[in-house]
Amino acid sequence: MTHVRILHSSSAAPVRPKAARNTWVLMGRDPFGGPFKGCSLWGILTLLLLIGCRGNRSSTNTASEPGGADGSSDGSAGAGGQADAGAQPGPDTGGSQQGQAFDGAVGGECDTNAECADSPAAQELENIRCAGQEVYCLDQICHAQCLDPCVVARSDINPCTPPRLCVKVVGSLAFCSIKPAPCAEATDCPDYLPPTADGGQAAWACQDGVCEYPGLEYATH
Amino acid sequence: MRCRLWALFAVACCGCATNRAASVSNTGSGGSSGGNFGGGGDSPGDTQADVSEKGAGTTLYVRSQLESMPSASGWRFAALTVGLSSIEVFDQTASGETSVQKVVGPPVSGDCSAHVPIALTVEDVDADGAADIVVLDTCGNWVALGDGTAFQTVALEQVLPEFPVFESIGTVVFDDGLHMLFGGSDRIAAFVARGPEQAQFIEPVVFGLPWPSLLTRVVPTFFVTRGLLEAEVEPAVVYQGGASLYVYQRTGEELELVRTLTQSALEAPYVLPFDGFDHIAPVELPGCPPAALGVGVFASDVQGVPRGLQWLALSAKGYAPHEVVTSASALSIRLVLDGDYAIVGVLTGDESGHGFAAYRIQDCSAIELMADIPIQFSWHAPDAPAFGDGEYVPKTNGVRFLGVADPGKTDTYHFMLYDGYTLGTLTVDGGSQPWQITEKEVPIHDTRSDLAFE
Repeated sequence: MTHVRILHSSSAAPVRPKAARNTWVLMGRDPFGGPFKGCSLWGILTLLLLIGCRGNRSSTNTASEPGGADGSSDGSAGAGGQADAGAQPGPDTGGSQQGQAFDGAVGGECDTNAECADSPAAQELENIRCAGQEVYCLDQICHAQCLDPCVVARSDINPCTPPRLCVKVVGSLAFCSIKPAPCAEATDCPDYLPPTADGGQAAWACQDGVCEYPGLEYATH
Repeated sequence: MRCRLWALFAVACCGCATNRAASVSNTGSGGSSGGNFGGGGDSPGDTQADVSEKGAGTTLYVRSQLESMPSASGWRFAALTVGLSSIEVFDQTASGETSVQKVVGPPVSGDCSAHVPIALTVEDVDADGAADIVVLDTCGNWVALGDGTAFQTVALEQVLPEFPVFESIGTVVFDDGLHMLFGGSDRIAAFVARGPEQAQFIEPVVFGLPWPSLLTRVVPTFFVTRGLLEAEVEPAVVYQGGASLYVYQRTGEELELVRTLTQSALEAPYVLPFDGFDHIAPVELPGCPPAALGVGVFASDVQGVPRGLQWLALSAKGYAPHEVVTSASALSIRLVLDGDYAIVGVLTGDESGHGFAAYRIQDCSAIELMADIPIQFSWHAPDAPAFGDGEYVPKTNGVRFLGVADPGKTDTYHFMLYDGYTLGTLTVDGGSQPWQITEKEVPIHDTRSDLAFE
C-alpha cells in the first residue's frame, strides 16, 4: 500500500481558531498559482476536448438492424446530460462536425466496394480531411463518406446505426463502418456481438481476413 | 476579490459553469422572505411569463439540488434551482401542507449583479443547534444562518474561513464530533473543519485530487463509509472523481490518501469499465461489508448505452459493479437508510416517459424491487440562460432528488422532486402489501423571473 501524503496542516490540533482573514493553505503546489497555471491550461484543454467530443457521432445510414439491438435509450454516455430526467434537448452544436461539413458523396455504378476506388464519389472524398473515411458500394452505387468514431461499451449494444458496425482500426481507435470488418485474428473483430436468430450471442471468427459472424450479412461486399 | 477570481477560475476550468452576466442590477438583500404555498401562488418578483415557454433549450435544472434539513415536525429541505439567484427552504407536514420560504443571499459586489448559486450543503455552521445552509456561489459564497425557522444570510467569510467555489460541497460529521465541510471540483478540493460544540472552523485545507478521465464528468463526490480501513482509523473518506475511488484516512484534521480502488471486474455484457458513477452513495447497513450504489456512466465518446444502476461491492482491493435491472435508464437515485435496510428511489426514463421505482436492500446485498410506476412529473426549467450559453451545453449529472423516511409512519418514505415550479412527491408505502407508490404534485410557482435572467 502506498501512502501518498497529499496535504499538510500547519497545526496538529484538531481545530484551530478562525483567522480574521484566512489565506489559502497550499499543498505542495499552488492550485491557484496563476491564471494559466495548471488549472486553466487543463481546463481549456478539457473544454476543447469535450467540445470536440460532442461532435456528430451518429451514423447517417438509416437502415435498421435485424435483432434491434441498437441501444435506443435516452441515457448513456456518461457523465453527460443525455440521460437527464426531463432534459430539454439542447442544441448539439459542438465539436468536429465532419458529418455536417461533408455529408458524403455519391457517384459511379458498382457491384463491389473495390469498384468504387476510382469512382466520382471517391474522387470527391479526396479533398476532404477526416479522421476516417471509406468508399463503398451500396445498391450498385458508389458512396464515399467520412467515418464517425465509436466505442463499444457493451457487447449487446451497437454504438453505430445499423448496418454499420464499430470496426477497430488500430489500438482503441474504431469507426462506424459499413464495409466488412478486416482482421488478422478474431480479436480484431468488433466487440459488439449482434443478436443471433435465437436471441443469443455468438462469437466472431476471422476467415480469410474478414470477420464473420453467424447469421450476419454485410451490407456491402 | 483576488481569491474570488481564482475561485471563478476553479469553476470555469472544470467546465462546470461560467459566470454569466445578469442584465438587472442587484436588489437582493440579506435575510429571507417567506410565503405559504398551498395552491401555487407566485413568489415575490415573479412575472407573468408564459409557463409553456419555460425551459426551452436549457438544461439548467439538471444540477439542481435538494438537501434534507432537520425538522421538528414533518420534514424540511433546502432547494437550489440552477438558474435562480436565490434558494428556497421547504417545510412539509405529515398532513400534506407545504410551505416554502425564499432565501436571498447577501448583497453582491464587484462585477456581479446577481448571485449564482452552484451548490449547497446543510451544516450547523455556528454550532447553535440550528441547521444553516452553506451556498457556494460564483458571485460570492454565502451562508443562510438558521434559527430553526427563518434564515439570516451573510457572506460566507463572516462565519467561515474563505472557501473556494466548487462544483460540489458536502458535510461529514465523524464519530468524535469533528465536522468537515468538503468542497470539490475535478482536481482540487478543500475542507474546513470544526470540533464539536465549536463555532469556529480552521482555515481551509486545499489539496489536489487525483486527475480523473478528461472525458468523465461526474460531479466530484465525497462520502464516508466503514469497512475499508483498520478499525482504529475508521471511517474512511472516499472521493470519486472518475473511474477510481480514492480512500482517505483521517487523522485529526488531516487527510491522507491511503488507497485507490479501481474496477476489479467486468460483468457481461459490459466490455469496457465504467468511467464513473453518477449519484454515488454509500450503502451502510449494520454488520454488512462496505458497498455503494451509483449509476454507471461512460465518457462522452461512448454512445447509446443506457444508464445502469450499479451495486458496487467495495473492498480494500477495489470494487466490483453488479447491475441492478431497472425498467428503463436510471437517471437518478436516492437512498434512505432505515435501520437494517435501505430504500432506494430510482428515477427512470426513456422515450416513453419517466418512471419511479422503489427498491429495498436487505441482508446486506439483496436488492428487491418493491414497486414502480410511470410518473407524470414534467420537468421544465427557469428560462435563464444556460451556463456557457451559446453553442456549448455543459455536461450535467442529472436531476438530484431527495428521500426521507416519514417520521410518523414506519415503512413510509417520501421522495421529492422539484424543478423550480412544481414540487413532486412520490410516497412509497411499505405498510401495505404489495408496496405502493403514489405521486402528488404541489404547484409552487406558476411563473418565475429572477435577477439572473430578467
